[in-house]
Amino acid sequence: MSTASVVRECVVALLGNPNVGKSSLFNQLTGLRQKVGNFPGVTVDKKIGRLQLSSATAIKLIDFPGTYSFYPNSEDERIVVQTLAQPANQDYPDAIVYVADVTQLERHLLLFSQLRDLGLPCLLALNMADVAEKEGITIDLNYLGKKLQVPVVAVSGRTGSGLDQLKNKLSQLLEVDFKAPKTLYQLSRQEQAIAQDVKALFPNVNAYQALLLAHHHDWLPYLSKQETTSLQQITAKHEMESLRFQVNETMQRFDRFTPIVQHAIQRQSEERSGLTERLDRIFTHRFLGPIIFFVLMLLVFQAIYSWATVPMDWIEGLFGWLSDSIALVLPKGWFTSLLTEGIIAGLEGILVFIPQIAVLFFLISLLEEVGYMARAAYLFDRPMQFFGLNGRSIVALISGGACAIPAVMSTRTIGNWKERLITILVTPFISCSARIPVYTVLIGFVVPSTVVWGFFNAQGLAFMGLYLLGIAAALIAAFIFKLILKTNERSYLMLELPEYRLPVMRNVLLTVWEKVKTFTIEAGRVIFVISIILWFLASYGPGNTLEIAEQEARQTAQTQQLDEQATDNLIASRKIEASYAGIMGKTIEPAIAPLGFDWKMGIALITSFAAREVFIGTMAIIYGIGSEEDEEGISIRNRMAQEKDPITGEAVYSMATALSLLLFYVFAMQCMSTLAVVYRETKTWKWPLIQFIFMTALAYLSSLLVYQLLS
Amino acid sequence: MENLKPLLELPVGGAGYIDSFTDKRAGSKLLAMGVLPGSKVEVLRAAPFGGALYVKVNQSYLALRTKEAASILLK
Repeated sequence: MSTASVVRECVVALLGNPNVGKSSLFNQLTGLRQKVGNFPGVTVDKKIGRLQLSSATAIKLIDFPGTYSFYPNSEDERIVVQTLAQPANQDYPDAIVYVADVTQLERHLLLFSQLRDLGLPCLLALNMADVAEKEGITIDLNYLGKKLQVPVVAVSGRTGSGLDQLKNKLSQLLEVDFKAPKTLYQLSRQEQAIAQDVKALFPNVNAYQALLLAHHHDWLPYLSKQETTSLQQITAKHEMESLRFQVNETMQRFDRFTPIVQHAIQRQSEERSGLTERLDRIFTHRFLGPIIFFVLMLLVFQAIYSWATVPMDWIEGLFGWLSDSIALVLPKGWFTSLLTEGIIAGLEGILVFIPQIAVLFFLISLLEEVGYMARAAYLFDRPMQFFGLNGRSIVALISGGACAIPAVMSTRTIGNWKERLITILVTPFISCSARIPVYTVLIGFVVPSTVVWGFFNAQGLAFMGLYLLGIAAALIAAFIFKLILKTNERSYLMLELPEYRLPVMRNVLLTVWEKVKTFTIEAGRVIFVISIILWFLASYGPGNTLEIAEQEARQTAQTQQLDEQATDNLIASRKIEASYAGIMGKTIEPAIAPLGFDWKMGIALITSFAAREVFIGTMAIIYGIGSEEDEEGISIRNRMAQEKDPITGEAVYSMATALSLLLFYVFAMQCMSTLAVVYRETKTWKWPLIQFIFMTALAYLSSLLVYQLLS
Repeated sequence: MENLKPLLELPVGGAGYIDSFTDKRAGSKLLAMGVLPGSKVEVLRAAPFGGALYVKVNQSYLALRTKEAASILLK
């Protein structure tokens, strides 16, 4: 650590309990110079920012997940322990910046005192210095630093005060030779004996690290089988009882630092501000609480619908214009087609989701920042638990009503992996906005537009029925997954209910930026590739079948004396029939015929994998009426109503077929973008594949049942 | 040691002092959050549908599931 003459990059870990304002501080320090990745092997966010502390020292700052102690209870917390117990780890820090909230200092010093005993250089950053001042809390920083034997600075993640001092002290800490102070915790005789035996196996660890290895040998991923067995023998030999040891250690630590804190901090009042208490009387009220929650969610929902549609229309307009302009300039051919219908359409398919993602995360992180989300989780924990979900899942499920993509991305705040996975798997059952055009066009074939019970429109009720069906499917599927999926991880609520506070806009906007960026880059790649594949399937056929189809269509058009528009529509219709997508539609016809679908619907099922609403556009092309200028879906509806079976002469869109098709769209995973996001959130193709299979199976079986019963 | 009773049996508004934990893993997590033997707990309110408890422990405020509250024994 003494080669300060060359510029080098030190790794600094940012650690602290949840809700201490660690992210605010990280954002203050790094701004937009941060990257989000994952810790190896898990889907826990790893934020890294780089900054220059002095001319000699640059640091890589890693924001670790909020952690309570070295006795981990979640995947997040295990990351911290496994990184810090292993000096060879790539993220093992040169120094630690520990963030604690002044108003909760005793509790937050537990993890700090454990970190300090690892023998790493530590810096204690007391956050919320501004709040402390307002609440009449005074701190003797010198005394605290002297007693704990670490540098202490007062900072504010909110205003940015104290950051220069933090950087100075940190660079001093990194530039001088560090000698670890005596550990705060004194190991019992039994623990000393254990540590001694462990150190014989791992000569590079100190006594406290040795004790941690003994505690956590059964899950630490980097230990070899042999090492685990040896550690097991040591713990058995010394009759080590993990919980009793932890109780003793925790109690001793609190006994050590509580008097120090009480001496260093003068508080005017022990109670938290009356405002939080008064707000919680309303927000967590047994009856008012849930009502307020649903009103808030209705606003969020409404915002995604109405605010996001404006920029979505711009994006669609812009790309439509771009595609039209290019088609005018460039000669007709495969390249122009690839550019306009493949690449530009693919990019549009990615960018069109950004407004919804941005709006949802703006509102959700706002609610999270003010402290409301913890209350929602508290209110809905019990009913959600019944279905194997988490109190926070309800936000994802409701957001899924607008679009499953931001909803799936929002599940990152669910700490328990099983509950998070179930939420991700069932959210796409909730009817999203892309299903609405399909429902609108088809519902008229099932229910007449009549008034029932003097008040309700029958089609409106049917619409609601489809939504309820989606919700029921989500909950039932969740319940089934709860029974099937096995996990060693226990589920806890044990949730802190922090004080309400004004949101830091920087944090909210950085969250929005990060979510949009991740979606565009990571899920976008998958969406783009699938778009190109779908374009290829719909634009090409084997050999020269497409040219033949076009020539035949032109001849037909000439004999029937069709105008230019009608000729183009006829050509498009014949071409898609002859394309690979058309062949696929005809190939799957025997499989979908029992559901009441013909090959034309088969083609639309394949192409609408790009997005459900594409169903309408594809049907319009197949029926030769063109996909342009049919906003309300009226002409396509009329055309569908005229469609007759060539053999029996009966209407193709009978009530049975239409209902079967509707059910198919309620249940089926007809959305490549959702699958791409599920892949990104679960880090494996296993879950999107399972999701695709069970949703399609359910869709198939329910359509089959309904069609066979009704026809 | 006869008169230990679980936190879950406290009525809303009631308070007590923690003696011990009956569940190892839940106890470990509670310790980590600063809920210690000897800490004072107060039940402030309860969520609807027989749901979680809103409790105050020392200076902090926590939501606990009924199962979690049942594993905390009070003196």
